[in-house]
Amino acid sequence: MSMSLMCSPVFDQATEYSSEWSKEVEEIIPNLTVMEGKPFTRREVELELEGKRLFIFYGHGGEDCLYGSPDEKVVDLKNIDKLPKETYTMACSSAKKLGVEVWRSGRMFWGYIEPFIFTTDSLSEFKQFANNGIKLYSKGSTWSTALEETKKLGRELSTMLSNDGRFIASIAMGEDAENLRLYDEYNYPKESTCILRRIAIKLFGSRGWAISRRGLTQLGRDPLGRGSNVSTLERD
Amino acid sequence: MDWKKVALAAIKQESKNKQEEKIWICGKLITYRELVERLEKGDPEVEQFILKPYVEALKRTPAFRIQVLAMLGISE
Repeated sequence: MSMSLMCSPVFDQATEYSSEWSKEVEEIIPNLTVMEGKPFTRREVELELEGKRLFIFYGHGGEDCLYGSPDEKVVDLKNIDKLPKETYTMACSSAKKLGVEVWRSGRMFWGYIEPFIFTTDSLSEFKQFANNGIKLYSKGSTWSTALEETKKLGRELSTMLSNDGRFIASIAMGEDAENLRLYDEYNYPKESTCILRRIAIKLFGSRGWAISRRGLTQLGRDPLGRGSNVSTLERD
Repeated sequence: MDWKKVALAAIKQESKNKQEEKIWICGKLITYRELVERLEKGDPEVEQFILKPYVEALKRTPAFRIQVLAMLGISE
């Protein structure tokens, strides 16, 4: 039985590029179910996700979702429970909220906290960068090592692009490398739009995410945590 | 030196040389010329994701600064 699902919908010029990049990944991941070349519905993706261990998504994303077509979210905060243990994506911004909630549900997420930027004068370099993590993982690297190596590759490619006079591409590559995130058992989200959550993360590390909204409000009133019991904190 | 002006001049220069090239940014695939137009209008998203890091790179990365200034034909 296939253990991994690759979904790379195509419905505009940008997804034609991302779908093209995904073909390299198809060649290296064994037992891969592939959904590609056209828009997909949420139902189609959810059905194919059943029983999978790894979900690879190449296409458009938002802070809280992945798009199967211009107006259909195939994954968002409401169907995280359908996701397998690991999700790898190059979609814009999806690590910002979706990735955090996927991680809070006990799953791993690889993605970007800001838009993934690329330029057409350097497509092979952006493809190399976008595919590097999953390629390393397929060769036996841990996700943490793959993250470290991919960020390093992004910085090296950024330098190479500026040496070649492709300055806009160099800046875009540098930003992509900076905005890449991995959330798993060893790497927890350190950013939040909520200032109280940020304080909680600073004080308690990954356990700062386990504090309920009520607990955060309490923390706001008493930042030193006097009277609070971290061991009884709940997920919200 | 006004690094924001330098960054803008450099992006304009590069876009002149690469009129057919595009950048995928903020949900749209736009030409380098459109990128310059957006920067000139003060588009906050393009400023955040291109101009701001460009200025930072000019300030903090000597090699990048030297290469960009060389393209513009100006000295520090």
